[in-house]
Amino acid sequence: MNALPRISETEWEIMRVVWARHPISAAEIIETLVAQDATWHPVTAKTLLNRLVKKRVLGFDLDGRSYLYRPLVRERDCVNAVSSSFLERVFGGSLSSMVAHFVEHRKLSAKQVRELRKILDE
Amino acid sequence: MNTGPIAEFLRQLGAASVQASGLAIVVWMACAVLGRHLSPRWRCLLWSLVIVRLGWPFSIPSEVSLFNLWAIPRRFTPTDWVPCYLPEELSNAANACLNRAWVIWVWMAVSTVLLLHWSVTWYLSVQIRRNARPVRSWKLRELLHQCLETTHTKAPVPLLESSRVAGPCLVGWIQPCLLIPTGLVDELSENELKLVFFHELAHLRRRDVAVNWVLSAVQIFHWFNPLVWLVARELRTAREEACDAAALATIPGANRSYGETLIKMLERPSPPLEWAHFAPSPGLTSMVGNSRLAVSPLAQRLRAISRFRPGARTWVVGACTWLALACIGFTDAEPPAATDGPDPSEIAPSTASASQSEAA
Repeated sequence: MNALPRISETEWEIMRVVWARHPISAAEIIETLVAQDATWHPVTAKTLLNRLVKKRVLGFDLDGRSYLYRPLVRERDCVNAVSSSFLERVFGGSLSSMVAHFVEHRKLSAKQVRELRKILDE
Repeated sequence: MNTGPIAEFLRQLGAASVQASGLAIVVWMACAVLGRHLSPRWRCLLWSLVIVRLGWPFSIPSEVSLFNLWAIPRRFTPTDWVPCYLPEELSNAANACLNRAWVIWVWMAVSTVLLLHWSVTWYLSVQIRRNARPVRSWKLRELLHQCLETTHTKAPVPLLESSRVAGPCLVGWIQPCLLIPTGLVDELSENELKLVFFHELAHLRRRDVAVNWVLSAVQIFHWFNPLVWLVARELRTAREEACDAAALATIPGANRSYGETLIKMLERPSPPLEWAHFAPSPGLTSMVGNSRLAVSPLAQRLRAISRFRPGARTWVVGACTWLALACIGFTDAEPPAATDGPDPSEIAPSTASASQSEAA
């Protein structure tokens, strides 16, 4: 599978604001975040914005003197790497024994997907 | 013989395991022979018989028991709950095994590890549920509401979204909620979403999360029996097929679309689970990676989806099979009469003759 951008939980909060409305300036992002959760600090938000730009998840355009941010990836393409990822990485595969899922997820090669599609054609 | 309480418990456990294995083989044969005459729902119920057998180490001696095949019935004893009966050779082997303390320690160690693993998985599922956000999309909430009405589900089901689940799933046993991956509303059409919801609501009606717990408990105790893992896999496969059938019965003619939805969900990028294939799992299917074996339960499921036809299914075959297997599987072989004690059939005539001579 291609390397998909991995976004932490806090970066995800910023991305949700941008996906909801873009292009959007840093000030507006911070304003929305603080309105949702007063513990957001503007400096933290700016650091994370820079990190997201470096990860090529966010792009920016210069509008006058301020930057307007826009998302470079779709929400569904982002994989959430959360802080408790150790637990999830080791035990996430056995979650299927705890939940009732639609389909037990596993990585399939393109060939296997084609084989499965052929079954539907039969 | 080691008469410690754990050894005694293990003796009963082992006996139940052996007997349940016999029942499992018969169930497997019944499924193979009856084939399509047995709907996935009845297959689930048949496999559940084996699981209940594993969890219930007592039985009633009877002439019709399956396990008479390895014992010679002496006489019919009154219906009484007795511990599972094993033939003498197996019983002696079991006792010899349990005489060694290390066997008991190994069983306890592995069971504890499995229990810990299950507990951590449970904790993880609680975390994921706690971190999930209520779905903002009005369209999704409305769709779920329509599905709840169609299936006459009275209890409300919270709809939450999470970026930490790979696909839609039902979480929780006492207050189940439906978790969907973020962004699903953009990827699936309205009909496809409905099919997914109907599948999950079928899981809800069948209380499959609770069944999962029972399965896990059985696997923690009976980890030493490989058949138990295979039975768990068969039960889970049959269960998914039963929920597929329930969903397709609600929207007839959507076979192709349903199959495509399934494949689409598999193609989605999943949360990072690099170690998933190495972690021990109570579900056998999770242990298998990208081998062909991993594809075949999926292939079986897709075939069942494309062949599904709504309409009256004969439940008679399923019900009769279930009743028959319950009778022969939940009764026990009659234990041979004690060779030391007097034979009651010999006593009765002599007491009768004694009482006659007294009366005379």
